Amino acid sequence: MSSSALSAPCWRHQAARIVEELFPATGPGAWDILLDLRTALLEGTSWEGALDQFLRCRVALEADHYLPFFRLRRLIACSLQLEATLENNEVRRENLASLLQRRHATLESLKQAVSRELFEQDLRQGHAVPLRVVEAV
Amino acid sequence: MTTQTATSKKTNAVADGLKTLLADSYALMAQTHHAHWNVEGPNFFQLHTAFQTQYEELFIAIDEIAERLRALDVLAPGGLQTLANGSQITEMGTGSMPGKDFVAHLIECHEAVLGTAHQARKAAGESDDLETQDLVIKRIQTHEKTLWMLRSFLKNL
Repeated sequence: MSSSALSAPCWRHQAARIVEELFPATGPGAWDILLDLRTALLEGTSWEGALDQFLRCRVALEADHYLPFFRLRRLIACSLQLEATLENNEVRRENLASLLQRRHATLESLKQAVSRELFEQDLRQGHAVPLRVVEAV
Repeated sequence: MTTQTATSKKTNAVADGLKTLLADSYALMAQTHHAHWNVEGPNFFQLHTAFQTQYEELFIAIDEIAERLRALDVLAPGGLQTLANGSQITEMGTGSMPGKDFVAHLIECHEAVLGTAHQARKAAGESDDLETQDLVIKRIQTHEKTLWMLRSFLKNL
């Protein structure tokens, strides 16, 4: 295990443990995406990558493993946020709790939906509001 | 004197264990009642009825735990604020959510109460308080059974 993994905050360790418990409960076909998710969580160098990997794993596995994905969703929603930079340079942070209840299969799809909603709320916004995933303060 | 102090500490641990179990059980009852009111979707009737059975069972259990405290000559904690402060149960969100999320949330709550009950059983065992131990073992059995049912609901067969 790398030193960054050892110093990862508690929520990331918790999330990684949940992912690890999925290995014996799934077939070898799922192990690659689970390994990628576990690595993304422990390394914590790209929240975009971690959230995207979570969404992809969820699409593939949640039907048979609802509870672990519920636990992961709760941990991620408490720990990460979506940051939007609006036209007037105002920075708005969106809570992920309700966004993750939707069944987006990728981060790109989630971002497109949020961007469209921000545009619909305020037509002065461009069609593509810059969005990035950040750790909650 | 040393023996009396040690006995007193053990009795306090039993009382503390029961107080936490009471607070957690009360919080769980409130969460289950919340789920009973707000669950929606294709499994509405099934879940609405199951949650009612569960919170009614918890209501009776809470009374038994509180009365066990009184039998030990300890005042039972009461009042929503006091009980909420004494509980580690997290509350579910206030927005609409799928029935499966209510079930998953209640699973986490039952797991938390189960952990509290195991601590209370240990304290009662170390204090040779078999009556409290018996009461707590029954609570453990009930929570384990409810967990089995809730987890079974989430299985995709």
